[in-house]
Amino acid sequence: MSVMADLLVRTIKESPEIIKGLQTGVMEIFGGVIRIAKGQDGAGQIVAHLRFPDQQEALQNSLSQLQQAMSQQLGQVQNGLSSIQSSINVLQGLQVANLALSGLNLAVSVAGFVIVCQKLNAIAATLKQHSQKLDMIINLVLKGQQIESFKSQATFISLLKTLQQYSAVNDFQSMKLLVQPLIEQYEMNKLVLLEAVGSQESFLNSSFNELAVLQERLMYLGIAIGFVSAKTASKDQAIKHINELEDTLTEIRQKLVKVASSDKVLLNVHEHEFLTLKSITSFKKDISPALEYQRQTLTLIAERPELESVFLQNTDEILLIAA
Amino acid sequence: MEQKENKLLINQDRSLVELLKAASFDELSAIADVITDNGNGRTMLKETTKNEILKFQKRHSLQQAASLLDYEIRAFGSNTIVNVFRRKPVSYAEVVRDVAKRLGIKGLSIEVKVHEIERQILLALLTKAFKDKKPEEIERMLENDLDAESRENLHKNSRHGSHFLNALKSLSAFSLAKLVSSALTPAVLPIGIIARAPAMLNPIGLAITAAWSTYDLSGPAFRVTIPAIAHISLIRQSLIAQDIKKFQKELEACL
Repeated sequence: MSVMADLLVRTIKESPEIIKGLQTGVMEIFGGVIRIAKGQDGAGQIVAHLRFPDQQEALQNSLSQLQQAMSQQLGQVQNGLSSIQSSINVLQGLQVANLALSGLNLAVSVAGFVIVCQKLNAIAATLKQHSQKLDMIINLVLKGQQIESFKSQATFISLLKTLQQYSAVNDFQSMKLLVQPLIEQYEMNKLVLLEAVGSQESFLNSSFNELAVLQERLMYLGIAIGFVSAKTASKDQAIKHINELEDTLTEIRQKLVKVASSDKVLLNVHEHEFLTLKSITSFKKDISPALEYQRQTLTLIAERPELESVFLQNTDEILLIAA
Repeated sequence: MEQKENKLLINQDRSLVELLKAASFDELSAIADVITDNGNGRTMLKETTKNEILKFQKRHSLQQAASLLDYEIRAFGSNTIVNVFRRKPVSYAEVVRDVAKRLGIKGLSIEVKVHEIERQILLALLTKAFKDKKPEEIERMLENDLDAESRENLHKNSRHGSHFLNALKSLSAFSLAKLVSSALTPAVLPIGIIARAPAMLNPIGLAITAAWSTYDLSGPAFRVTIPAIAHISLIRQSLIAQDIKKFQKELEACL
């Protein structure tokens, strides 16, 4: 029982763990009891009851001891508070720095936006310049193509007109000189036409009206070469040229039908272009009787040269020549 | 005058009603079967409309019902688009674009024509259907539904398994439409009853129906819209093929 009494009743001096608990804030005094402080394990639990001395002096001693213990705790709390204060100061400083950084970031964003806008404006201006230059180049190319087309047309017309003049005065020597440019023109037209009908892509990139003109020109050139050959070389040579012209036209139209009949071409041509295509295709069929007449006439004159004068004379009537 | 000059020789973008008016009875009958679920009716189809379509189908005069079919296809297509407040069905072009978007087809700018979007839809469905299949398996499946030239073309363009699905792009729009529309048409049983269940579809049809369900296209409206697009695409491509033959003959006649 005495042991129990020792354990249960102690003076504050004999209870260092309670003093320590009060100092560290683990325990708190509530009136006449000491409880475990809020936030600790077993918070609110009574640790000890206080029995205050009856004598005034003894009570004052006990209170001063307790006050001393409490003041130590208060000092520690104050130290803690001041360290918290300094931390808050640091945090406030950081907050100001953060605000400054945010402002700076915004400024950088605005500056970045302005720079990007300026760059975009510069790119837009460059693109505009390039577009203008491209338009200029396209115009120049188109003009160049037009000039080439005019040159080619002028050469063709001048050749035929010159031939007509020489023929009118029977200047066979000068006519001979026209053979080479006539053949050159003929071959050039032939190559352009064959290239155009060579593939779907090149065909779709061609102007069908231009192809029609080139084909017609090819026919005139072929007949002109045949005519010059008949006058300056031999009728056989002339027939050979007429046959060559017919073969070339056949080759062109066969290739043209093959390429134009493809799904890709038919799905991409317009109605008016198809009419031109049909006209180019039927051209050989349309001129076949004329070519046949030329060939037959040349053959007849080659066999019976005396009939040449009959063919050369002007007549208003249809003449029948006995075979 | 300018407009007339710019008109393409072959119109690949005929309107839906134009296509339906020019279609054969069999082609229209396939569409009527899709709309009426082989005469059994659908929740979203009015009984009177179903009976009207079936009446024309029975009389072999579905061409006369072209406007009705046009309306119903667009109406089913409109139900796939959220249009609770819309009174009138959307255009066929809008229906096709909506399906294409759901299939994840990119680059559908306003310039892309309806016939091209139809082709891309069919291609996307086939590609998805064949995704996990081996090239030999696909070739076996396509054996009966592709002509020799298309098979040869496909074989030439596909050297390796990973390239096989790419090689499908080499198929013409007509071959694609024919392949998909026949795959999505239930087989006719010997007793003359049209099979209803998807189980009666051929292996390609089964693979396609499985594929579109993975695209969140499994709603009742899509069960009408997707096969309808396949059949319409076939009608369009058949008409284009007819036009091509006609103009080829015109050119040959000039020789």
